[in-house]
Amino acid sequence: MRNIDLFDDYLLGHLNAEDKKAFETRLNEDAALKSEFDTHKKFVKTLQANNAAQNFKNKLKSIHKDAFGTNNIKHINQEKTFFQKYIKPTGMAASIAVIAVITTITVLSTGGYIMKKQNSNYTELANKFQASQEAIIEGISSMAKKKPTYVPANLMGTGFAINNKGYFITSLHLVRNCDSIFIGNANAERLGARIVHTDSKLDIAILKIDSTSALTLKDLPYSFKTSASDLGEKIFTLGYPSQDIVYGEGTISSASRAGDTNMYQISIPVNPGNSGGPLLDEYGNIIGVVSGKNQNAEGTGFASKAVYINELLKNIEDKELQKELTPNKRNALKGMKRSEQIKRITPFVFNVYVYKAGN
Amino acid sequence: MAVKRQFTDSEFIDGLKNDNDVVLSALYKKYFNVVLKYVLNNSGTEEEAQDIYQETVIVLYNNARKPEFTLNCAMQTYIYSVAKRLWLKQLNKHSHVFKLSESADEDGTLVDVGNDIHEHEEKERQLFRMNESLVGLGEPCKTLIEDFYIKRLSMEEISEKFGYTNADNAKNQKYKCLQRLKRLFFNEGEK
Repeated sequence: MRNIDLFDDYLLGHLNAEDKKAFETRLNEDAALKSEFDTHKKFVKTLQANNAAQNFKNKLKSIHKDAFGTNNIKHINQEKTFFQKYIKPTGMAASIAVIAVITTITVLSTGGYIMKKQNSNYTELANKFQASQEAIIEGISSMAKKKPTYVPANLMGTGFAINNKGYFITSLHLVRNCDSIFIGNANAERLGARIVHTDSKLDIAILKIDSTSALTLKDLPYSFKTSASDLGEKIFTLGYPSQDIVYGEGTISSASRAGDTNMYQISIPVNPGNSGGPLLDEYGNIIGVVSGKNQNAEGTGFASKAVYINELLKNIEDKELQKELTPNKRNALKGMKRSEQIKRITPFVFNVYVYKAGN
Repeated sequence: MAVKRQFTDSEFIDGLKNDNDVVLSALYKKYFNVVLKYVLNNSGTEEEAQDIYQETVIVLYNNARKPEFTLNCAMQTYIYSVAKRLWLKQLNKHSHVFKLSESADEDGTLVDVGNDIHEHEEKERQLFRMNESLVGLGEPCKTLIEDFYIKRLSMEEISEKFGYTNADNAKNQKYKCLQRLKRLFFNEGEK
């Protein structure tokens, strides 16, 4: 009889009392056999533990599915549907009032959602607004010349148009897990938007405004660059770190952020609120989306690379959405003076207002 | 409407020790949001939160089943501490050092779970290697090995199921399969 067979008979309880005892005596006397047995025993235990672990994992998955469902992205969209369903048909004025009330309730009930201070050396650039801070007031001329008062957003950042079909790009960290999103700028009143696609590696979210007819954009003046940009290239960004659009310029200082090649390191002093803003080269090509800044080094920021965003847009599984998201290929900014470029780009860059309850 | 049964921390531990599915399910539901909130606040997705949480429950489960285990802090603190460590490791692995909110925890306390995590990782490595080896082993060996060591079928049953002429023959097959599995497992380890 092979040792292994004897071991297995012993381990699986196939031996009678007498044989069991005899085997145990042998083990005590024969150190080599004991060592061989111990190795085998450990191996069998690992084999059994692996099976138990797989079963346990499956059990947890099924508990999770029963309790919380499966598709997590849907969860966010369901909240959007709630807004669309109950608020959109009541018209713009009423919807603002309802949103104001809902947001006030959630803000009050959670004691105000305040993003906490961070210790890491990387800060995302969503602008933090407390409920107590001044309300954001924007004029809507069409509404009986009355200026509506908006409840302050919990987070504010920047976003810009991908095309003129109502699609925008911003930073995922800004809009993740939010209750509602609005975009607006000097030329456009606040428009409700929803997330249609996200990518956490690139920190990118694609938004679509609910009502495309509410916003008429001309053809985009910029295009997405399809190749990587070089170190030292001159770049600039536009964003809403405050109520007014702010221009910043610098160079590409590194092709990666701490080994993450999805991002450029840039030498532009970016501020909270710059998140989601376009990063352009001197010819007016979009080369990235501003994502965060380095807290340890003033004046440096990070931006997701446009070359990967291009890939992302091209490879969206939803074919219909993919078709909708074909980025603009024509660049109308080449050779222009910077001030002229900015003037052309500004209407396509938007403030992103994000509302979320604390929980 | 059924009244939701509330369990105390020690009832949770006892339930895990005894493989009580009702208790496991109640525990799972009770603390998911703690971890979900933390991961979401720290650049994670719901899906990642789910993975981290399930791993956390596995750490807790494996620990709770040790006879000597005692929970020396609130269950929520333990779960939060483990989840946080696991998530930080995950972030480091992908060198995505996003903002880390230190103050997102409700009770503000953390316990040292370094040993638990270390032990868990060691175990996971072994199990992962075993799983890979089993996949590499292929059929019918994989099923034969599992029938014998996990389902604990007798050699007669195996012989019948796999169409071997007799139990001895089945035993030889099991031996050969086991030797191959061991080779895969130990060679993988050297890589």
